[in-house]
Amino acid sequence: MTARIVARLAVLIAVAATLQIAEGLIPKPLPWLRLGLANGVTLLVIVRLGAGAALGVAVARVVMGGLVLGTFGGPAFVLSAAGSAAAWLVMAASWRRLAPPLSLLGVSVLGSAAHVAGQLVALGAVLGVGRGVLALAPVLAATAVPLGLVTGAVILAVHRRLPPWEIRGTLAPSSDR
Amino acid sequence: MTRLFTPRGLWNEMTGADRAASGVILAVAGVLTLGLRAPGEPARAVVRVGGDVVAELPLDRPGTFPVPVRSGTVVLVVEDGAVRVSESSCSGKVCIAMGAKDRPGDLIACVPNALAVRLEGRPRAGDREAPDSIAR
Amino acid sequence: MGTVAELKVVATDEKTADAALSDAYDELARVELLATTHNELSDVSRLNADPDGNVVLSPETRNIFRVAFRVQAESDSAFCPTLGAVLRAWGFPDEPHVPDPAVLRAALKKEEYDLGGVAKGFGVDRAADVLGQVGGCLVNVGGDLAVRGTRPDGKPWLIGVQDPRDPSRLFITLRIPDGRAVATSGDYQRFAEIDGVRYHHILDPKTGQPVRGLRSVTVIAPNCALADAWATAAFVLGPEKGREALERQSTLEGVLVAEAEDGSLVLHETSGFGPFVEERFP
Repeated sequence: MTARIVARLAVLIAVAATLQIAEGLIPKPLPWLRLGLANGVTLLVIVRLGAGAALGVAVARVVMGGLVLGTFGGPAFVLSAAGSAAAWLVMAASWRRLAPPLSLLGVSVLGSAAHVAGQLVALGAVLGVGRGVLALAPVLAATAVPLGLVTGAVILAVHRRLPPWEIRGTLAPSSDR
Repeated sequence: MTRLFTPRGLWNEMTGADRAASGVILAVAGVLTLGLRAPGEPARAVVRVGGDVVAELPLDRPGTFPVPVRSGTVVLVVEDGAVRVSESSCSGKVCIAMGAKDRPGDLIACVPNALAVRLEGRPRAGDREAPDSIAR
Repeated sequence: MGTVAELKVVATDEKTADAALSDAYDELARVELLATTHNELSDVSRLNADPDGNVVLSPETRNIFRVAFRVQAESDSAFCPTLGAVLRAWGFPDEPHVPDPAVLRAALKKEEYDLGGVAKGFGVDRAADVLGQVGGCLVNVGGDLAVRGTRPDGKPWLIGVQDPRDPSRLFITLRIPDGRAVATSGDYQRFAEIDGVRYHHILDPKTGQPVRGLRSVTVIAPNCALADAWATAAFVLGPEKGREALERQSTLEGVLVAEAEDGSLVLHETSGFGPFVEERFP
């Protein structure tokens, strides 16, 4: 790995972590459930560097965010980790299999929905109520689509503006579907 | 580039598949909003901390119930057939803001304390009442 | 008795209820005074101090002994009222510890009366007699209970039974009709955990060791003294023999609760137990 790649990944992780921490400042009716803005970075990396690199960035970001916020290991951390993991999984799989016909926007929406679902499942486990969390689901599910679209639009714009990235000295396939 | 950030621009940018996916998810959200209230009246509020049931409060017996949690205490109040959080040692106090719940399936949660209060209903035919005494 | 007592009575006015409750508490205190081994002036203590002498016992104490000896005979000594020395060797109830094997062997040879397994139930019965004269009632002392009549709404009293795996929960609720009593013996009531092993207070009279195999036994009987003694006896006898022994007693019904490896409860019920069950919880 060249220094440039390490630097690039570091920047990505830092941006993602900043987003994760910053979104904690946004007032929400259910504060311990996150918007998932940092998943946008995960998506960008999936598109530009592949699912594996994206997973690495996501894990690093979740851990760092947890350490900085002091929530590491606690219930909020578990929710954040579950949501981010679910988002990565769904976005990586759908980018590979379902796009086309989906575009980056559609993948972002699916990722957002997976993020919500992952958090709900984790919440049910943490609280011990299992299916009881569905009582909270409607609010969150409704926000998944708009958030996914907005994040997706931002990432799409960024993706189009950035020059292609290098991996191991060769140009990475940068697809703009 | 900025046309991406207008509603129309965004719509145009989406493929048919994108729109379909979004529609499905919105529909699911709609169904969830409508379909979740179970019929009947809840008999009790089941209180869990960290997943373990610590108390079951019959909703027909008004009272104040302090629940010890990791950060201190959460005080639950049962009155008028509903339950709510009146005080909490958590930082966000979201649980208090969630207000009073009285329908089966309703949930009040204080996530920092891993506390969940879930209203569980009783079957329509046949009462499930609290026992008069407990054999130990 | 160092345990919590809960008395409920259905009366037409508060004065009658208060007077009856006061009398009922007196009964509980009275029986305790006769039977406890903590007080050297009690009948039982005096008897232990001088077993061959002519200790005069009150008729009530003799009644308690009668019940105890009868259950001992019918349970083939699974219920044994002479384990006083053995219980002391274990340090129950205050300082439980694993006794030295030699000390335990010596204690097993001694016949020292301890009516703990039946006196509490006897007290409950006496209190219930007093309250029962006023109206429907429920007496619960330390988890052993007896009822008379019905609750205010006319239905039989509804009794919950603790889940031995988690005493904050119930595993079953029972409807108990007029004139019956319920007692439970469990390995979670008095125990010490030493090096990860639970040593509880229900001992095998032959070996002096805590009986393994069951988590709890609940018995429904015509009075609480019998329920109390038989709950202990059945616990000692184990799931099969205990159930058979209870089955042979026509006035008793019960359930013997064991825990399977996967943590679920395995219930061994007598054939007449079902009708008492109101609800089962997994």
